[in-house]
Amino acid sequence: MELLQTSLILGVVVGIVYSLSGAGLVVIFRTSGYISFTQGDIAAVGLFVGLAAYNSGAGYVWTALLVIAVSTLVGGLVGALITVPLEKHGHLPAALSTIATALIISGLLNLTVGGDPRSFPEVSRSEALSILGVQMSWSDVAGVLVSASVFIGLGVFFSRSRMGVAMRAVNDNKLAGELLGVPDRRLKLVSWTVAGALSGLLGLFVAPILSLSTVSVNTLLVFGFCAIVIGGFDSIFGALVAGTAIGVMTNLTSTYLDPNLVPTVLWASMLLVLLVRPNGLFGRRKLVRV
Amino acid sequence: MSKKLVGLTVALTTLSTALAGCGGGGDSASGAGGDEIVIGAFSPLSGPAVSASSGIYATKAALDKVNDAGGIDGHKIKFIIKDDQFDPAKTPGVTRELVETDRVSMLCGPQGSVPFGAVKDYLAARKIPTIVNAGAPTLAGEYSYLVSSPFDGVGAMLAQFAVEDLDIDKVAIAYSDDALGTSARDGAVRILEADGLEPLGEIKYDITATDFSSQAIQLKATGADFVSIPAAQANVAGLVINAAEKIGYKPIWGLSYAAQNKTLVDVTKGAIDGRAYFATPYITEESETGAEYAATLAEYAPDVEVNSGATIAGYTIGELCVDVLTKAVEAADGEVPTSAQIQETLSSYTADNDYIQGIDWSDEPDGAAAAQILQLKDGKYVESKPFAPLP
Amino acid sequence: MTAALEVRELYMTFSGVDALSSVSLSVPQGTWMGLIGPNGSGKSTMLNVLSGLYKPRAGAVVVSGSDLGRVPARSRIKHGVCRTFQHPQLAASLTILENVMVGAVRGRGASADDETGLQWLARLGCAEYAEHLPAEVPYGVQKRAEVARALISEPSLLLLDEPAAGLSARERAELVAALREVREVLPDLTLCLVEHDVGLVASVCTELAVLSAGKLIAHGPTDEVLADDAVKLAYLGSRSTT
Repeated sequence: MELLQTSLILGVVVGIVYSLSGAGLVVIFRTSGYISFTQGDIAAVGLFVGLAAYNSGAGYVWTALLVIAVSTLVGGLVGALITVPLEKHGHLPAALSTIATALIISGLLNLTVGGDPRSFPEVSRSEALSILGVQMSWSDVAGVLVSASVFIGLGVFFSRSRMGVAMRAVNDNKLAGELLGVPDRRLKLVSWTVAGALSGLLGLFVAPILSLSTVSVNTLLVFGFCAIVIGGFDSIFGALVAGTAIGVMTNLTSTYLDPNLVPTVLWASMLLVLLVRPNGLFGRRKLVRV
Repeated sequence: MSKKLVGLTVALTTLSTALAGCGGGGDSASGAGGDEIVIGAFSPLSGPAVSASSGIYATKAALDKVNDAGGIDGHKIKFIIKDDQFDPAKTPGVTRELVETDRVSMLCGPQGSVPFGAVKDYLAARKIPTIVNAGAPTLAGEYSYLVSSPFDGVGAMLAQFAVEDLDIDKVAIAYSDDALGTSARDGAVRILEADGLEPLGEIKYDITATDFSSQAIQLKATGADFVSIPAAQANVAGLVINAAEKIGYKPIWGLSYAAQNKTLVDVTKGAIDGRAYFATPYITEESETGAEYAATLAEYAPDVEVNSGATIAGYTIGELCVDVLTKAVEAADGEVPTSAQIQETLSSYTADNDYIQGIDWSDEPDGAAAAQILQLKDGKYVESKPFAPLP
Repeated sequence: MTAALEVRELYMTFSGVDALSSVSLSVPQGTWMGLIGPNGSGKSTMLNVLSGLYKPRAGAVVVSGSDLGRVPARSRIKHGVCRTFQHPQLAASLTILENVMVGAVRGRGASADDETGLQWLARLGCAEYAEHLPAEVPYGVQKRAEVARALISEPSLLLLDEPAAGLSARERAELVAALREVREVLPDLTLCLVEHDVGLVASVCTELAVLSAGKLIAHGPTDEVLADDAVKLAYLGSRSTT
């Protein structure tokens, strides 16, 4: 029984981080219509800069702010200088450019900082509270709280703010967007910048757990990708629910079935959702009128 | 998706490798006297696994030292290192270059079970002998000689150490479902059963996973005081340990030279200091021979991590290669030995020296049959139990 | 008084063929002008030039006194020019109301809120569909939602491209009622309506302009233009002679 409880609770904690990794992908998908594969490497740049600052004496708060600032900047630059300009050739070149950018960044990181995993500071390892006998550190609590507020914030932004609504319109209908004067280029840059910030934030929670290497955030984005496919590409709320569900599901699979089955279960459930509900569990289903 | 990324990484990091200029081979030693002995190896000189390359730099250090002392009977050793990025898709290409273009007479210390697995048959077909720097027992063959102890014995030795030396009978095993992990598990179970015990849990993990909380929970539930996880590399061991300690489970950890390095200490933030034991067939910096090793490394490869299991393994293999080549040169009457002559030497080679004990390739081409146990104490690896035959 | 829309000597050529040739007209503020003509006469070309999607070979488009020659399509909304499309161009993942609100992003009705959006939808008779996705609502509602989206930008010149095309008789009646409601609420709005259904055009427009083979052959009050012999010949010719 304790095994089950702990599996469930820790599954939720890690699942929320999965959701957060999906959130950055949704933000870019909503304005641009493709997935960015470069978010993990954008985060890595921020994290390595942050770690350097931390090692030379910066406190945790400054480190965290620096990580987010650098990721935001790098995200914005990648969008502004590489990917968004390539969109004029279509979605595929733009999406491919995110892969190329990712590989270039990780190549440069391997060259400069090397592939060794290192430890990354966290909020605090001391126990904050205990849920059904499972100890939660302040880092866990901060991760859950920050993720939750990010999700609420993004949800409100996309559904209530005019800019948020416009961002969704940009990708949906180019012609209308142009005629209505929607500043699509600017909105796309905003989305890349915001996604960069989210990647940095995600990194702050991933790096202490996975330890910081050039690939640590990337390995998690796979789960974020599944979360948004299962939850629905256009649904922030869907990413949250699906990410959490993935966390619990993979944890239970690993505990009760076989850890090597985790990827199989993950991808199979993603395919199943795609087959049954192509727009995801929480994506709005488009009825076709006859 | 990540696989695709990895695949593409290969293509792009080739570029960065070229930029870094670290893909090249060893400098040809312009030795006076006899002809050069050309040998080679592959290693992840760049890419995500670049940290493992400390092993090849240590191998090279051992060879450079001999070259600076005049070589082997006047023959300098030309050591050509090719970058395969630890990617078994790249290994065959660089190995062909070594064999067919560079005409190496043997491979000395190519790294990695998976990369070497990709070229083992090719090398055997070309009759190029190799002293392999990897642990998987399946790699041993007519032309491939292992140095690192078999993990069955490593797992057995750790279990024996827990039960007999630490007086712990509550032992759990964490293992990955591969040749290394399962043989380490079987070795531990064998010893425990011989002592009338059984493991409180055999918890499987996936080395590619990101989240190890499930394993942590299961390990904690066993209530074991000693967790044996010898086949894990430092990064995976670190993740498992961190996940367990995070939920308040702090047992004694049984590891091996595979995880013995700075990365483990760094990733676990020193939390396991005093509670981690490492079974290894290799020496430590603190020993008498180790001082000589450290001095050589400081001179020829000052940037690599001295205390890492991979570095010491690499260096030891370098020393073995020198010894083997010396014998092969003798057998060739002072001339540069051919591959066949080196193979002949290897197939009857035994070693019981300051660096490695229990190598007997005249019997089986597998690794050292003796190991010691080290304890991580104040950031250093100190001897906890001296060298003894693997149980 | 400055005309709401003034077109001077407009030429538009597609691979050597004149789609518009020497078209000049002036439309006073508050006028609803129907732009009619047979297929291929240049009506749609004219609308695309006015909204900035096409760049004319020569000539000027002046709206409320400003020359829009160098103003790209995406900036014309700030000059009060907004249009709809023959096939509604709505964002598929946005609700009808959200689509309407996109019109307020850059339009002059920047202070418009959801309330205003709902109000327009109500006036156009489709408030009940506000929370639906475009794919879930009838075609006629999509077309009227597009009109609402244009109106929330508070245009001075509204360009409607075949709003009745593809609609059933009942939907056409609803459209006419909706347009009359618009006229009631916004007496100063200048409208340019491209439409095949001459009856519908005549019932809402006070002026007609007739294009034939890229040339403006008539422009004036609706009754007069419909009575014009040249128009009958060019536009209705084929039907009246057989």
